[in-house]
Amino acid sequence: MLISSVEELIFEVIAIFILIVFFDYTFGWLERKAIAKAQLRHGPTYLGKFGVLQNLADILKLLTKENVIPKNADKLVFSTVPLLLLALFIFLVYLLPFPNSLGIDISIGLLAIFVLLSFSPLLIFLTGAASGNKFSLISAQRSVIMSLAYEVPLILSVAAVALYTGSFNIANIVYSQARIPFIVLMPIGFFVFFIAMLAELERPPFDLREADSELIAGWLVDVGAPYYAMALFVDYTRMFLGSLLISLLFLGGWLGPYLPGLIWLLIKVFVVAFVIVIIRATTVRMRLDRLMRFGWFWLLPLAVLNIIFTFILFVK
Amino acid sequence: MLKPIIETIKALGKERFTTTFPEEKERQPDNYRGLHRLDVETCISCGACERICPNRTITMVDANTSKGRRKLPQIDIERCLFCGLCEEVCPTRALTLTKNYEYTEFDRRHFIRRPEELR
Amino acid sequence: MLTKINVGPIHPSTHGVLRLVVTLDGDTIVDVEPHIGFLHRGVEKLAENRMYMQSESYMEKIDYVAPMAYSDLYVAAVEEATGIHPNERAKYVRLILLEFQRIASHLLWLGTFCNDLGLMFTMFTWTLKDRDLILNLLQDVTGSRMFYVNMRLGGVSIDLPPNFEEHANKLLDYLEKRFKEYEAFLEKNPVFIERTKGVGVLKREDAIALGVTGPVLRASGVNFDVRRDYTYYAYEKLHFIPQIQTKGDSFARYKVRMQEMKESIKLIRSALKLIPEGDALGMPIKLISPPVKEKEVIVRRELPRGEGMIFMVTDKQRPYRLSLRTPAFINLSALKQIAKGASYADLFSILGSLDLVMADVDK
Repeated sequence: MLISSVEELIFEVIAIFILIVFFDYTFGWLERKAIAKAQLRHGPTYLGKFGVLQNLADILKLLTKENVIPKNADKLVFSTVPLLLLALFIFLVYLLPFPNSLGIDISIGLLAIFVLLSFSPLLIFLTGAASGNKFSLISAQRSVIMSLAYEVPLILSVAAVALYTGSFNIANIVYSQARIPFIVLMPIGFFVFFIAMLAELERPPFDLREADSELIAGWLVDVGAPYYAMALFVDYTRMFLGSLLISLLFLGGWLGPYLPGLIWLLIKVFVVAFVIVIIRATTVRMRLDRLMRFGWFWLLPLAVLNIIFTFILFVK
Repeated sequence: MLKPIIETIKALGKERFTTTFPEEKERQPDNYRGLHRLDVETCISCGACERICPNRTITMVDANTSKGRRKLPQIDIERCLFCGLCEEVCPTRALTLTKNYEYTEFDRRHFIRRPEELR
Repeated sequence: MLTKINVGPIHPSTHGVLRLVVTLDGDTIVDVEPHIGFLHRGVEKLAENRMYMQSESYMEKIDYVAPMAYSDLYVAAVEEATGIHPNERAKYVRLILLEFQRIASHLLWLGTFCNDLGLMFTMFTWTLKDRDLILNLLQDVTGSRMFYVNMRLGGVSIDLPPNFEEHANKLLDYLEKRFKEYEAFLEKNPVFIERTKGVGVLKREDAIALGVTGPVLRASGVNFDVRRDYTYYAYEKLHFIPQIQTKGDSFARYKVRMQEMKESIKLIRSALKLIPEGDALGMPIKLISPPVKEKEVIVRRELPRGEGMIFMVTDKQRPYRLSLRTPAFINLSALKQIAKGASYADLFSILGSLDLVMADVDK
């Protein structure tokens, strides 16, 4: 859908921003309540009817505190790079197509997203290295090392999808799943993409960067309170991006009977997010060298196998 | 890897185990060791509770009772271990431990409870 | 290039206040130096100025996870000194309560071990729920959930209530079912197996030379348990078998504790069947200590963390000198040997599997 006038542009920008904020807030509440139920306890119950206003209270409290910059930190980098990270992830959501003529449709959408996504470990490393603290430096190094092992299977499994459809346009990929979603056609590809996406989003079992019981909070040890609120926002927006990618590329996007397209998309996104939350409540953290071994020796051959199968069975 | 996930999903269906204090409270048995209660008429001022306390929590102070001016125990709740030795050693069972466990004050000096307040 | 990292006193994974100065070479550990003493309260000196039965409450506060085991250790030492021994029924009652305490202590250990590995509280809340049910049962018997102060000379302060047996049997059935679920949750999880197998190996000769005791020793293949070798109460009659594993890594230490919990359930069931009738009440608290017969006393017990020992030199009304050997202090000194050459993330797996409670280390 091309943008034909300035009003349409402004409408698109605001609508997708509202969608992002809605998903972040609802996912924040859902995660806290679902994890609490799996751990046999109540989650937030006091503010709002089921604790719905708790996240709002937390963000308001964090935004009103003083911003402290440690003496050893590099002031310029430390203050600006987290904002760049937030801008990057919000921009990436804008590159995805939405149903009902929301969103932009670019012919190289898939490539653009994954190229820009690989900037994020670099920005996180800059923040961690600029805070002048040994713990932040270690966790920033771990983040870069981890992305080295998991970028390649991620892109290879997406390449199989693009090979089947014959284009990089995400709207075309969604429309070509009209009869069978890709999760049935290439299950190995879905498995590889799901695990590599978990590593990219840095959720458990791959949450080395914010290892709560080892490095206390990793790169976020020394950031001030407003930046901590912003880091939470970045985390949830990244979850939104990841779940959107999984549901658009493998689960059929907004296609489905009886309900409007946007509702189907949101249902699929929430189901994927719920599965990720259950995995968080179940596994322990992996060690770094085992993680690298898992990425190079298991995921990479599976991704290559997936491409070969797709080529032989469907393209020829 | 599948079995642990099934365990977690089973736990989603179980009942919650935490209680929302102060709206719901846990049950207590009858021999719970909470705050002290002194029966002023039965106390014979022997001072056994002062001598047995490991932490020197109890001191005998002058107090006015219906039988004249006598010495009665004064308890510093901050130092108390709630071990129950003073209740066991009291010969007339004037000092007992009740089920009350909620004692919060704004001022630290209010933790030294005189004998008249122990009820 | 060697870097020194301070895993400080305030840290989510050191159980209590422990400061470790870790020297790293890249990602491998070269040296670990523990600094302790943040929780020292001088329990041995306090006991010198109190009469014998007044310091039972202080002994319980040495270990806040399994308090009854320490108060039993101390009261047994005073019983040896005064010559007042428990009768048959009191021995069985003490055994039942102590084995329940052992299960509760190992349940808390399981929760915090999974917490250290990164599970973030799922296993912790489940095991704390089971421990809470055990503590409710003990609360019905003694009147308090923690810091029971129920051991007296020659028995206990309050006897078992009449419906104790059926409540205990119901609870034991529930616990057996839960242990099967915990094993399915952890041992079928490939990430957990990777994190604990082959990590922190302690060989048999090193374990004997360093003097570790308890589940850490039994996981390295040494067949030593105070309940069988220096037996006390009724363990001989109930045919107690210590549980041994041979590998010596974190997974073996975890497995030994799981097996010990199941063995405790068996012991409690057979003790409930064989318990004789009678009166298990001990001597009530008096203002003067009973007359003391022995000059020096040594008593050993198998605490949940290892072997605890008391050496007491007696005086007429109060102990002249009390010397405690607590198991966690010695187990911590083995950390340096185990952690050499391991990677940094393994340090927390090893620390968690040693089962330290800092109040035990610092007394």
